[in-house]
Amino acid sequence: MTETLTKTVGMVILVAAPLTFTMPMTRAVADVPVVQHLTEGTRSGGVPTSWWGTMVSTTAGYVPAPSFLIKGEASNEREAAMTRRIGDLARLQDGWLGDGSFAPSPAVTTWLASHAAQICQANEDVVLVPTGDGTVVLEWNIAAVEYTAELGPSDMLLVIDDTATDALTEASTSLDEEALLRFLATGLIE
Amino acid sequence: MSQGVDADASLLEASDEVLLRQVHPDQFPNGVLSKVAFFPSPRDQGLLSTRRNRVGAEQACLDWRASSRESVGTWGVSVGEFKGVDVAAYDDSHLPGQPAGHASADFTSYDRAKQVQKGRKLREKAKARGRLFPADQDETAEADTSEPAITDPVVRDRESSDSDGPRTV
Repeated sequence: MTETLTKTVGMVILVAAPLTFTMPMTRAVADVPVVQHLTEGTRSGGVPTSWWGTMVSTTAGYVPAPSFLIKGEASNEREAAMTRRIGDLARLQDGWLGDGSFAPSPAVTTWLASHAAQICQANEDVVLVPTGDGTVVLEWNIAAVEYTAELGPSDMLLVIDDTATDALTEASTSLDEEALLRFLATGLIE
Repeated sequence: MSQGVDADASLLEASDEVLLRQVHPDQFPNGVLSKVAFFPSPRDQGLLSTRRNRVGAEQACLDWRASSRESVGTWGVSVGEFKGVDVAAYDDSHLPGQPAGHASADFTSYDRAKQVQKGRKLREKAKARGRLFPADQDETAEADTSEPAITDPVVRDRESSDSDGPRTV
């Protein structure tokens, strides 16, 4: 009886052990959101905070949490720099770029200021550039692809410009926080 | 003639003429030339404002600064390079309020995303040519955003009271 039980337990262990190591890994890979710049390995990047728990929990024990998930001094500095930059943009006056040019819309700079931390977390490379129309352009590049998000008071234009092929992908929508942060983090337009 | 260009403007034909463009410090973040400086705003009615080569890179920059506007310097894009991205350039200095030797590059045929892409391509041309005034001394010169001869930080916070100057250059 004892011998039979031991054999049964042994068989279970033999069968279950490989699954223990393979199944969670498969599941983890399937659950991790596709983050283009992570898969390409071209930059350290970032993902929205709403994804952190998913990534860490599904990969815990198998893949170490990327360093950019650990909010430290560097990210605080980036956030501070972003806040200063937004402040600089907010101080521009109408006419800053010539006769008839407009300073960044207060609605845009206020929105940016209230989302500075999220923007930094989503994308550590993004730079903010004002236009003469009162909009603010967020731009960055990954390898040969240039990404642009032009924010107006109530709308936004997202552009993916592949400099190698000149393929252009664009979307013009109302200002959508979730879509913008996802675009910043993944470079994908939905 | 494009709908955006004045009927009396003359098309620039000489492909090797370099048109001069001022770049505001805020369009040169972290010492990197932004494409935003190389495509027009809708308020410009699709026309990118430049000065003709005969004005000179230094004079173009000084003229700009004389209107109490900021510039980190003059960059250049040739008429041929504009043609290369299917953008025609016109001398429209006869228009009221425009400075001598003013030229406009016509983006009016393109939607915003296309303008953004063309701006990126033109920026690359300008970047490859290097800053014309003050001339880049070496590879690292572009990273120097605190150019004392051109950038006047006081201007940034100054109330804009110079609306009688040229539209933009």
